[in-house]
Amino acid sequence: MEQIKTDLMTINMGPQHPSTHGVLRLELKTDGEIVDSCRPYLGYLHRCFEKHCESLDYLKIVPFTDRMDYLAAMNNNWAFALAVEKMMGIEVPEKCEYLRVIVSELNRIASHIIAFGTFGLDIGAFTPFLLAFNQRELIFDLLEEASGARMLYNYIWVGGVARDVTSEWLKKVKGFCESYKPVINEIDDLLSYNKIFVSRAANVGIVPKDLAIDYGFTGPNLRGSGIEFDLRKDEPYSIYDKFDFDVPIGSGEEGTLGDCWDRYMCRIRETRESIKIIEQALEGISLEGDIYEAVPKNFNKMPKGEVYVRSETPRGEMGIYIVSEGGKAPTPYRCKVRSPAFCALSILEKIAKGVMISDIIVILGSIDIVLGEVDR
Amino acid sequence: MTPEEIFNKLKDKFGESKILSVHNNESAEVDICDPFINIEPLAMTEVAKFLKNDSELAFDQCCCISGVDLGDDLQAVYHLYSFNQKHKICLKATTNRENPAIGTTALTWGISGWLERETYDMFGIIFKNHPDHRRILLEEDWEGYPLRKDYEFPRYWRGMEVTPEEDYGTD
Repeated sequence: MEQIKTDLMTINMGPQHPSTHGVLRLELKTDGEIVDSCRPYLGYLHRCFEKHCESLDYLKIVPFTDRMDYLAAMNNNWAFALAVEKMMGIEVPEKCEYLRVIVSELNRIASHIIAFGTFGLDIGAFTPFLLAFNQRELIFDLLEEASGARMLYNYIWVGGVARDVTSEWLKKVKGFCESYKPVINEIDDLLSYNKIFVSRAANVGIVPKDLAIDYGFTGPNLRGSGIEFDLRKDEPYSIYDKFDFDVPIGSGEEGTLGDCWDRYMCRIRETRESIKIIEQALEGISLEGDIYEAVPKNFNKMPKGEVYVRSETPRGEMGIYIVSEGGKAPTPYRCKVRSPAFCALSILEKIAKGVMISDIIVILGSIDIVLGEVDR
Repeated sequence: MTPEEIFNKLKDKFGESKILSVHNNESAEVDICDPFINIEPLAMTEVAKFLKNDSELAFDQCCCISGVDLGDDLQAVYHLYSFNQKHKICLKATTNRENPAIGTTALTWGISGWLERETYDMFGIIFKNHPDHRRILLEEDWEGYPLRKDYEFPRYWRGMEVTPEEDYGTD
C-alpha cells in the first residue's frame, strides 16, 4: 500500500474563512487529510499605514495606530506614544502613566478574551465564548466612558491622555475586577481543563523554544513555549516596575511544551495578572493634576535622529521605528511598525507540514493573529 | 556586550572592508539614535550567521528589519536581540538605488524571510540568495515600490480606479 502514489490536492482556505480571524488566504497542498505545505497570502487588509505616516504629523498618526490591531487599540496608541516621547524626551505626568496602565491592561484582557473565546469557538465550544464576551462588553463600557469610543479609542496621546476620568469611573473599574475573577475560574472549569478541548489542543502545533525565538515569537506565544520574557518585566517601561505581577509561562502540563494548549493557557493566566496590575494601579493613582501638561503643542522641537522602541501589546512585542529629520519637518521621515502578529504568522509555513487540515485552524487560533495588524 | 565590543569583535573576524563603522549619538551627528554598526551590504549573510552562532554574541532573534529611503541610497536597518545575553544591537546596510542588493539573512533567522520580503515589497531591495523572494503584502504584479520617496501612485490598476482623478499627480 505504501508504494501507491497519490496526487496532492490544492485547497484554498480563505480569504473569507471564519476561522482565519480576518482576511487571510492559505494555499494548502494536501495529501488526503494531511497538509503537505501551507502558503499564506497576506495583504488583503493592507492600507499603507507606513506611507500615510509620512504625510501626517505625530498627533494625527495616533488614530491610525488604532486601526492596526483593532482589538487592542490602547496598547497600539501607547506603543506609538512611547516612541515619540522617547524621541522628544517627554516626561509623562504620573497620573497619566497610571491611567495608561489601567486602560491598557483592561484592553489586554478584552483582547485575550477574543483570543481564547474565538479559539474555543474554532474548536467547537460555543458557551465559553459567550460567557467571556459578557465581560468584554463590560470592559468596552468602561473604556467608552473614559475615551468616548468602543473599540478605536485615540485615547493615549503623545505626552498624556485624551480625557480625564472621575473617581466614580475608578470605582466601576474596581467593580469590574471583582466580577471578572469568578468568570475566569468558570472558564477554566468549562473550557481549559475540559477533556475534549484538551485532547483537541494539547500536543498540536508544537513550537519548541529555539524555533519560537527563531521565528520571532513574542508575547504570550513565546511564553507558551516556556521562555520567561515579558517586556513589562524585563525592560520595564512607564511605571511597570512599581507593580508586582507574575509572568505565566507554558509548562507542557497537558501535553508537550509549546503546544496550542500552552499558548491558550498563558493568555488565560495573563488576564489574572492584568487584574492584579489594575488593582495595584487603582490603589496608587491620584486624581489630582493636569493630564495635558506634557502634551506638546507642536512638533517644532522634534530632534533629528531615530528611535526603536518596543512595548508589550497583547500579541507580543510591538516595535516602532521612527526616523525624523528634525524640527522643520513636522512629519516622520519614516515610521516602521514591527508587528507581532505578522512575525508569529510566519511560523505557519514551517510547522504546517504533516498536520491535519483541521489542526491548521487550531494552530491559527492559538497564535492569535489580527489581520489588521499583520497587513497594516 | 557594548556596541563597541561587538564592533571590534566583528572587525577582528571580518576585517575593515566588511564591517565599516560604529556610531552613537555623537558620531552619527544626530540628536538621538541607538548605537548602530554599518555593514557592507553583501557581507550581511556571513555577518548574520556569525552574530547568531558565536556564543558571546548569540543574537538569536531578529526583531525588526526596516527599509529606509535615504535619497541616493536605500538602507536596511536590522534590530537584533539576544535572549541569552540580554543585549541588543542595530545594524545598517546601505546599498545604491540603481542596483540595490543586500545579502539575505533568511538562512540565519527564520523570521528574516518574511521581514526581508516586506522590505523588498516596499523598497525594491533585492536580498541575494533569499529562498522565497516574492512580494508579500502587495500583489505579485504591482508596479513600483510604494515606500520609496519618488513613488507615484498609479491611476488605475487592472482596470480599477485606485487614485481619484482630482488627487492624481498631486502627491
